[in-house]
Amino acid sequence: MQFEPVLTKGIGKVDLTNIDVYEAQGGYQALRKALTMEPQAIVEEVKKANLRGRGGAGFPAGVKWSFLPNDGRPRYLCVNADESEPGTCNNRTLIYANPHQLIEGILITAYANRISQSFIYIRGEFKRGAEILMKAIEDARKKGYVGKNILGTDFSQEITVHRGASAYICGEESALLNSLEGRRGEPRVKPPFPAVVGLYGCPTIINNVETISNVPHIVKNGWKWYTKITANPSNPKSCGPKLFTVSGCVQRPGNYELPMGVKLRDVIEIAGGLRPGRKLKAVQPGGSSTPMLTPEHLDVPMDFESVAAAGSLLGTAAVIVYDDTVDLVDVALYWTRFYAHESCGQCTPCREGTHWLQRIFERIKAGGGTEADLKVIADMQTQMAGTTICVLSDAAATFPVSLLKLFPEELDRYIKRAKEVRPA
Amino acid sequence: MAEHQKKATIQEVHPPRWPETCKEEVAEILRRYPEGREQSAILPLLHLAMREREGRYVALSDIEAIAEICGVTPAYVESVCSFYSMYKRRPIGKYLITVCGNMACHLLAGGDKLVQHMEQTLGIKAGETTPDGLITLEVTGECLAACDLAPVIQVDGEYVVKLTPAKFDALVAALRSGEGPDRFLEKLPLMNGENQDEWPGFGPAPDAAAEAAAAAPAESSSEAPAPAKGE
Repeated sequence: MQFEPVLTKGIGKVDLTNIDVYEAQGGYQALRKALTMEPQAIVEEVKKANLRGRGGAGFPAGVKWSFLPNDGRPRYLCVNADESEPGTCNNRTLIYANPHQLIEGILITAYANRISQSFIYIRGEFKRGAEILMKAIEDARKKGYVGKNILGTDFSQEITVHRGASAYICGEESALLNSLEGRRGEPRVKPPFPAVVGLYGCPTIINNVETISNVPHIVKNGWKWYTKITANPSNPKSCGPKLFTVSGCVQRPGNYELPMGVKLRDVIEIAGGLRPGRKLKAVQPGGSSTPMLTPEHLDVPMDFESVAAAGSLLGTAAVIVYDDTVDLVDVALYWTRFYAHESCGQCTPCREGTHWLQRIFERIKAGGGTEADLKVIADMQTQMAGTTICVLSDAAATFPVSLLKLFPEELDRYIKRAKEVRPA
Repeated sequence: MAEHQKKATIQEVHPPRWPETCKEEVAEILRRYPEGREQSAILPLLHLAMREREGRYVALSDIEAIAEICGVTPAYVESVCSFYSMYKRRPIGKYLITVCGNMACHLLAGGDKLVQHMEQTLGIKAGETTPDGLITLEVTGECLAACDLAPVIQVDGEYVVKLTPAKFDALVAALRSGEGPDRFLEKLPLMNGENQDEWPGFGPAPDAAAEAAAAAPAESSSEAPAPAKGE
């Protein structure tokens, strides 16, 4: 499969943080083209290109944009750069190595949606990333791409970089808004959705870094070109280039840009395959919040619909690979600890549920687990999922429930051992 | 509690000088947000206050100063501050080493053993500061988003990737000798294919991977689970 990288073109070869290098590679041409277009035409273009949100949910970006009410209130664009889904690091690559692509995408999105001001909410740990972005914005300002009357048109735009301070939940869009407003990063009840009541109570678009980074290419090359980028033409609903972060038990973990719909088998192969002598046990195809896939799913095309049909979610396309040396109960222990730490504590099912899950897995691991614990884990699917303001609670229950469903023997081993040591 | 921490909690800490010394920067931060939305500046001002204070933490007097600037009560700023784990409320060492304690680094890349090694090398437990006040070691539950380069740590927010015990020891030696961490930090940007091990997705693929990529779409699904190489 020959695939010409789109989003990561030039990364690793040239210094794209330098605006001249970015321009030499065709950068900011899409912005020039966009400024000659009608804003609505750009929204239509993105809609037709079927650009799906890359932050995890896969919601079509163009459709999201058209939800903004036209009522004279200022509109805001927030780019979600609070990349913190465990296993995911493609935004980091795009920010650290290709910041101008993101800025160009922001400017086009802002023009298309008549945005008053744009914000990049970047996680606190990306200290250098925030510095790179701020410098890139200043470089772009010197060239007339940012600020007042961009390239001589009546379009003006300011881009503000806002650093978070380490809280996983701020990746949730309404928590991100609260954090940006200087509040605790607690998710808001929806509806109203941010498109109607968002930042400072105004209509707001929130898109992921990778989503926005796609926008210049769609404008430059047209939606027809974009919809042809797929390894699974039978599913026209997902298309375009996608960064797959492959981590865990592979020989060359890394970010790989591949067309949507590439087979899971190929993703793992491109990342060097498993280490010699190891067997594949399970894969989480979209980060810690997604159910596991098993070796029988190796031919599943990695697009939103196909992965969902296989019983999981494409999420952020953070492919975490587990081989036969990994104890999945250990994995569950890590995930439950993580979610217990990151629950914001607003909703009881999540605040309590995440901590009980952690305690249950600690008990099972320590050899004190019973069959009653398994019952509790199974119940979490109904007790935790769908009962809270945001989906952190659902995400926390996902792996334990998936473990119980797909690999009950892994848990049974501990429970049986506990029985042998401590006869009832 | 390390000696320098005791000192800071017992002694009266000096009121912040940053509202005066960083006046320009504070004004610039406030200008970033729309009129009347000063509250948005709480997070950036907390970062600023922490950077400016000796011991790099947020003291009560910083919170009071921020409350005044943003037009809210100190209790409100305190409640925001306590939500985010990057804001430290106790003095930390000259260097803050943050170890990624999440799955890819910790369980799958041997980071848990690395933490033991770090604790032994430094003679402290995670969450503590060396008695000389040089290094604070913390293990974060959050993923540091560099799973492709596991195991990773951060030194004051800058990444040190693909850490090994030897690399860590050399880093600590460099910190102790006063040289600083620069030599060990992730080199960016990557150009001309240098450091290909660090970002393998963006270099020429080794032959095997290229072949797999070329042959893969045509491959029939009748094959047994393929990735189990060498069996």
